[in-house]
Amino acid sequence: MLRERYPYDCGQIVYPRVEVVSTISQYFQSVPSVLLENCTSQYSTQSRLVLVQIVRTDRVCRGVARVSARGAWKGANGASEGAAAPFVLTETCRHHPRTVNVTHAMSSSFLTPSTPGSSSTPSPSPWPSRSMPKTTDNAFIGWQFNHKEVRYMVCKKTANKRSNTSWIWGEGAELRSPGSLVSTTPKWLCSRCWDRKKVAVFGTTSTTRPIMHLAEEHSVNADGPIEKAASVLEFTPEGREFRSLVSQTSVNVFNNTLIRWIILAHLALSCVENLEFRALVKLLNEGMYEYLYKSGNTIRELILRDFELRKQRVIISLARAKSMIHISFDLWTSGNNLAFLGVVVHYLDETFTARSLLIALRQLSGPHSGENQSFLLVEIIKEFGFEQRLGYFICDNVASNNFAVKFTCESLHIKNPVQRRLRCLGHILNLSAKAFLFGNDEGSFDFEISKLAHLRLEVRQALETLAFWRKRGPIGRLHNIITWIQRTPQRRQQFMDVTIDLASIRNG
Amino acid sequence: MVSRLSSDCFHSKLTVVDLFVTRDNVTRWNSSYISIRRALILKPRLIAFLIQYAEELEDDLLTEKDWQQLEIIAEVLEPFAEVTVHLEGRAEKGHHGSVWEVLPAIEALIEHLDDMKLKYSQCSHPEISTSINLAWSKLDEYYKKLDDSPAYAAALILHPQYRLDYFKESWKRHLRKYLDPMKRSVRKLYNDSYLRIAQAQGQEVIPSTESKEPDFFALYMEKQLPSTVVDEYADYTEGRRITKPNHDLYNWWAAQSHIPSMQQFAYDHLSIPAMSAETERVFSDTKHIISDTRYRLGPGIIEALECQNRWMRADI
Repeated sequence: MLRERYPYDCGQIVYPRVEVVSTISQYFQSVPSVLLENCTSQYSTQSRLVLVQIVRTDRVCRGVARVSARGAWKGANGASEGAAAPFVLTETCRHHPRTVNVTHAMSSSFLTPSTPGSSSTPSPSPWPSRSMPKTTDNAFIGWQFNHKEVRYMVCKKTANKRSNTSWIWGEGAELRSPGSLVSTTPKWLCSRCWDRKKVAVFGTTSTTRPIMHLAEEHSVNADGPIEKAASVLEFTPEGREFRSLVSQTSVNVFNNTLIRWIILAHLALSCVENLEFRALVKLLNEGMYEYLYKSGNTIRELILRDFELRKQRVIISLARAKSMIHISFDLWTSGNNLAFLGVVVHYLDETFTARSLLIALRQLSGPHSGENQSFLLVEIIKEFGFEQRLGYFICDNVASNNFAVKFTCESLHIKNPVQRRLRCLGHILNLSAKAFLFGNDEGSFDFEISKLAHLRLEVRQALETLAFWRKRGPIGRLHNIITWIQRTPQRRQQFMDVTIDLASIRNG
Repeated sequence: MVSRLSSDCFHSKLTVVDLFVTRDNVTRWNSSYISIRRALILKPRLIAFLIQYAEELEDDLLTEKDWQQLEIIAEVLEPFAEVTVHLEGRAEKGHHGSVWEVLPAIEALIEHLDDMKLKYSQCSHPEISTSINLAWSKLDEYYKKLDDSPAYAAALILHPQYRLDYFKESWKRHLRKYLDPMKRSVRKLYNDSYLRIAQAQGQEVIPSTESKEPDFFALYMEKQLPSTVVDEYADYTEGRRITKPNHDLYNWWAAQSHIPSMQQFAYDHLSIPAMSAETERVFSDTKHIISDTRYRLGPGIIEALECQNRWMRADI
């Protein structure tokens, strides 16, 4: 709908979007301005030209703002014929050429026009006699008021030494406490709320809170009024011709089956964004296709939520167990360098079947000591509610596990931690086999001769012979041969291609 | 009509999948044994290969004596691998991975090593003999540590097929001195935690029919055989062991409702696994979640994915 005139009165504060050019970027900004003159367009039927005056403290700038057919304001910095002078926003400031210093408050000095031939200075629109001056009033800067038992004073925007001024300062005023004008970080006062007689004050250690306030309350961001966000994927509307009634339960079943598939098949959570997959679903069930989640982030939230729900079921199953709950745990470092403590419980469930179930795979922060592990263990045990029915601990023979068991038992007031510490049989057998092959626990051929220095000569000689046999005896040599064969694809192929001539083996 | 099926179709070249050598690594259990076993199967090919590539392998060639020693090594290590495989399961029915199998497994392997020591004595095979000794002492070291907990012995006693008879049989020689201490520690474990269940049951007075006067006949019978509190522990351990293997341990115990304290004792101790292999399985599975393209998964979502995976498979 085209408007003949911009439906505001002269002298009123308006917020056209104007283009700001700086050394780094150009962007559009809503800048409070005083509407000077309302006029019809001479250029096109799509837009109207009005005359505004940017409200700034030390500079006056006049320009033309264009209003489009849908009412959104767009700034123009092109030349316009006739009418007023072009919208020049490239006046220099002290430090950065081509940077605009935009402020929010108005003082009496700059309402006087800087260029001749401009229209007369408008008088500020009469404000209903109340205590709060409007942002365009002369009295605004320096105005003091109380808010939440703190005295604030409105100040001119302090210049930034190094960085650019944030766009929020075009939308709000700087507040400081009268006692300490220089030292503290200023606060930010929203101009729009102020003009509606509401006080909205935010701290400015970072500009996040003002930005969020402007986005939520006034639908404004750095580029001007926020448009509704576009959907993640662009969907052509032609598929919407077919409409079928899809019941909520079948949608739930569909979603649950989808989640189940994603989890059990180790698929990336963003697989729902994959266009081929979506095409497949659309082919199979057009009605259900409408309900297919569009974003991997939604899937992620669903999985986390389902995890919490299923956890409750695990807790119930544990509560109904027929036996004590036994626990085994171990540390592991993942491929992306996160240290995890894996906790598995073993128990006899209500159907008299023995179960081994993972209950937690939590990141262990801090040292990998037994004591630190015990903090996490106790937390997990209490979360799953079996601290009164804890049985035995089964873990491998690393020394830190002894401490982990000991401290966990202490925290849970279990006597005789040594009795409760059971050892993984596989690990014991492995240590024994390694002792046979390598003589030590590491499973390597490195045998430190220096450690034998204190033994008797015959014993030492025997052990040295043994060490030599291990490294250079049949086991060591076989290991070397196999490593050699496996090293390159060519050698692997040569091995497979070897012709076995039994006669030559017998002879040679 | 000419048959299109000619014999050519059937005589297509069949390719045999050849075995390849496997290498041992530090972390996988029994990898050295598996590597040696595979090499022995591939012995002809390896020998032929070594003949061809003798110059490049120089010092690492294997003589016939070496092959014989490898055979002996494989013979020594074979039971270790077999026992590991036998006991790494989840023991859903009470065997193949349950804690009662731990003591017999270790004792079997100690006996095996004793036999090997006799067979390959110090004079004929000095290095192998020393190695066997080292393996034996390591196994013995951990066997003694198992004494710290009576759970292992308790679990074996609680198996209806073995009860105390296993210990009486297998500990009658050099371990005889440990028999009584073991019995006492298991009895103490029972007394500390489970006796009160028996006592609570014993105190349950069967409500007599209040309305009638005490029956003359009932009084006579009560006088002859007063109902005493049964020592459930002795009742079970001195009972006759079942000889036919029962493949569902827990259901057998579920039927023993006349000895409820022993029932609970059995549930608690026969549900313990022999190994912590399940955690290793979980880590191995989690590796697949954190693939190259999903490197940035955070710990929260990793936990949710892996736990959900396991819980869905377990039908929770």
